[in-house]
Amino acid sequence: MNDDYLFDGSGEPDPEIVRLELLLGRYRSPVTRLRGYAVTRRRRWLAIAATLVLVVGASLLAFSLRLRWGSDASWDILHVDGMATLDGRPIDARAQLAVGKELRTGANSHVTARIARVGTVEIGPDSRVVLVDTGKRHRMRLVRGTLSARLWAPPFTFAVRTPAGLASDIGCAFALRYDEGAGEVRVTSGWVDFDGDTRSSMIPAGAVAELRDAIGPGTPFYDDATPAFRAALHAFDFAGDRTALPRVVAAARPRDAMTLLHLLERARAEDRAMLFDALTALAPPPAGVTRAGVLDRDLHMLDMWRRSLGLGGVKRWWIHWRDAL
Amino acid sequence: MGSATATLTLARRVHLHQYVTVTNDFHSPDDLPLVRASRDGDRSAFAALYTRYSRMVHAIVLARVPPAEAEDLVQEVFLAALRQLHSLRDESAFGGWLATIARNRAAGFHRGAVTMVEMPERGAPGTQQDEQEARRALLAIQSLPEAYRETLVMRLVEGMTGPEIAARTGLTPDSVRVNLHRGMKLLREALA
Repeated sequence: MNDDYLFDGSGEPDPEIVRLELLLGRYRSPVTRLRGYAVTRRRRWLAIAATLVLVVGASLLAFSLRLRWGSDASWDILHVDGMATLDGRPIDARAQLAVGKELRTGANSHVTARIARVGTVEIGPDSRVVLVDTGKRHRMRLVRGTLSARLWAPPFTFAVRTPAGLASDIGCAFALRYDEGAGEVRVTSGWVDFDGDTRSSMIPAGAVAELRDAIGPGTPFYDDATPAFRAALHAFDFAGDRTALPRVVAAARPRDAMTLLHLLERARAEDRAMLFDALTALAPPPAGVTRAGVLDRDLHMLDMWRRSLGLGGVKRWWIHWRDAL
Repeated sequence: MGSATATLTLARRVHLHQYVTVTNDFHSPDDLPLVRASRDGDRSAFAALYTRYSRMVHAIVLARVPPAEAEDLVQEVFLAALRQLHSLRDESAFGGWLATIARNRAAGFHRGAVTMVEMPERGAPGTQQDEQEARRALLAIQSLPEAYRETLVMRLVEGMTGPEIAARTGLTPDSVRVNLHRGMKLLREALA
């Protein structure tokens, strides 16, 4: 008998070896997966979970610190381009903007300041601004000129007062212009709530609203609206011309549904049916929104319709986190 | 006479051991991609190495420790290998390196104050007599020289063929054949 069976299982089986194989097979390695590998994987998941907890905790802490600001603290001036003064004294980038101080810029000047820790504001040429309040909330007054703000913070953390009303951020970036009784607010991210003497508007990203003293904001419209649409809207908003409404409706594109929805909220009862029909043709209302309810200015239904336009939730300000960068 | 037999047996063992001793400088190019991927953190690659080498490691361990302890030691060997993989200088020498870890771990088992617990064996249920015979056979194998016992356990316990044993251990097929032949002869003598 040779060793072939012992070596590779070929050849004539050796009964003694077969017997030993049968007996000793009970000790064979159970080729299962590596237990420690599973443990390692579990540890990896635990490590990932722990890291996530740490990241979330650190983020919350950083966010809390971001919002914390003393009411007597001054804002840092980050950049001065051209001539600018604080209470009449020329400044450079080492200056600080304290509560009650008036900042003025020259004809070709720009000044950038940090809004506490929540964002930045750039003051444009030929402008006058005053820091009115800081701390938990930050308030500026735009006497004249332009400013652009970009911040990431809970709604109403930052606001700018103009003679035409108060522009409050809702997690956003926006530009404000005001001079000689008129101006405009242009929103590039999030929303702005503009509260005037006689009306208010929630202006979404991409939209513009004209401003007038003693009135407040006009109806928001998208910047790419047709001249006919804008002219008719201007006539309705600031000349009190109700006959302009059919021209607004006639010039409206589907994208202008946002404007028509605003008009529904502020138009007279006798004009709402026409607006409802026009809006329904451009952007059909979602289930649960009825003609009767909208004509009655049911806020819940108007909100449902607004959300169906894909404008984004006003309360979801944190999704504009890029404004923190 | 007994002393002469013992001397002869010892001399023969030494001679045979020199001839068939397991080398640790075995190189397996097939392992290279898996070892490199494992070093880069690819756990599936390491799992593949485990599948490839677990029977060899189990055999090396079982050639030295009680069956009830072998499985845990195998796990320890692979976990140690996973942790120390970065220290492996020659990636193609993974098999020999792993075998050394296994032998060291098994030796460490005997050095440590370990309470040995007899566990029921796996596999098909047998009679009490079969169990006693199996235990006796394993003890006999464990008393053989290192190279023989490892090769015999791989063949008789793990069911590996001679070529498989050669591929995993780095021995030549001829050396495996000699190990098996001589080891089996010594085992028959021990069980007689």
